[in-house]
Amino acid sequence: MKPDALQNQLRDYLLGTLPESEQTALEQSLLNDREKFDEARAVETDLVDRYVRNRLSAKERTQFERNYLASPLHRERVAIAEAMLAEFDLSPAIAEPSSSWWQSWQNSFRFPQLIFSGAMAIVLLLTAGVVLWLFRDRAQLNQQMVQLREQSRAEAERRQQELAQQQRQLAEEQARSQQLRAELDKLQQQKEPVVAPAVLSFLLTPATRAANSSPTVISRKSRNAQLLMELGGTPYPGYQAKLQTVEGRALSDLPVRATKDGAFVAVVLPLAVTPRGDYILILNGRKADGSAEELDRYFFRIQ
Amino acid sequence: MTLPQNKWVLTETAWARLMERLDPEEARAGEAYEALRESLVKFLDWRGAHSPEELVDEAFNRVARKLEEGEAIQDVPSFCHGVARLVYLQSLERHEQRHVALDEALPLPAPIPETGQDVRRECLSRCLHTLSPENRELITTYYRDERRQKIDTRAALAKRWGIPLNALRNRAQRLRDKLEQCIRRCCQNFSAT
Repeated sequence: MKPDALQNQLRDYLLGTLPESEQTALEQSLLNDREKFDEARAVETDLVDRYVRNRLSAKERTQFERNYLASPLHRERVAIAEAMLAEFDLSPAIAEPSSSWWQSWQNSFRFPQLIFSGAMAIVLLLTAGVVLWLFRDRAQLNQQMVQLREQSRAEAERRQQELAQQQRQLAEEQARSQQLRAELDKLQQQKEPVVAPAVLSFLLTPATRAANSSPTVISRKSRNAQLLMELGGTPYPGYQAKLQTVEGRALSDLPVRATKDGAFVAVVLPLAVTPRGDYILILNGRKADGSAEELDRYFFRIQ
Repeated sequence: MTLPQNKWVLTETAWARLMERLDPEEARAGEAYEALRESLVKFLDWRGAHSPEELVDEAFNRVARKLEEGEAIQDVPSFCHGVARLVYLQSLERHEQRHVALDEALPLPAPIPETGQDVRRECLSRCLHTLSPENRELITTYYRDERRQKIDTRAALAKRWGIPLNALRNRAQRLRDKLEQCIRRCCQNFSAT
């Protein structure tokens, strides 16, 4: 079907003048053909607009009112169209866009000289105003920058002072911490006799037998160390122990106690007052006449 | 719109039969039903039905009932269309009867009261501003009464938008539909307040 024929058929349909047999066929095609439905909407709009603008013939107008306006929704549609068209017809026509910027530019030179001069003067005045405004703006910006710099410097100084104060506080805290630690150590040392650990015993090997072996190592984990030395041969009425460094510097005589079975003698070494180092313990047997006889030497290390 | 109470109620069997007649395959039947329903609603809306969806549901109910009763229907979609049309015409008749009854009881106001037009104009102004400036210009220019210049104006519009005249017409129509819906909703809100 040609477009015009379809539009006429749709028009007749909307005016209610299309034969019943054609109505059904047309409606079927509208249901199945989206484009045709769009066409129907456009024809309807055109018909409504013509009715509103009073461009329908008297006969068409009657048909329109009897058929189309039978629906309340259609009456509402017509009322809305009245409002729309009144508004659209009053709105100004859209100006045609100019052909090109070149023509626009050329046209600008066709102004009369007076108008052109006046326009130029306005442009110059505006330019001068803008320049002045820019200068003033720049001066304000400079002032703001100076203020910002001053603020920044003051802020830096304040932060430096805060940092120095924090460092002082830290040093004070460290000193106080050291003092507390020293006091704690002192207290611990004072407490040691009360809670003295068990005495550790070490069996010393005579130097004559331990020539090729490492000396006995005594750890300072306890306050005192009991040094045991095995006896051989005839026992003596008494014993004597001398402590000296490996360099030969005599330190002290230590009391010697023999075990009940007489197989060992024991010396208690005060580790708390004996510094770390290598030592020699000289064991002497005291005879009945009071003279002493060296029985053996023992090497050991305190660490 | 309130439809007259029908004693018959859509049963599961009748529904299944209708769907089967639309397409033996269940998923495709569902799609066919949705498509047919949408086109019928659109059609009745265009015809000016007040509650097209309600009318279309009523039409489907009647068709399903016919099928359940064993009526031989060759082309179900066409039959649905015929029934929908009938339901629509009946709804118009009922409306007219109610209108006549009210006419007799009360003096009716003019069909388009002036106060209503004021509200419409206000709503139109608001709704026009919901459109983008380009669309506002398009719809205003397209439907402006310019008599002989209309063809030229529309051709210039199509050229500016870079689309054929047909596409321009459809675009303008869609905008007008959108605007009309907006105005209708706005007027309803006005009357509600």
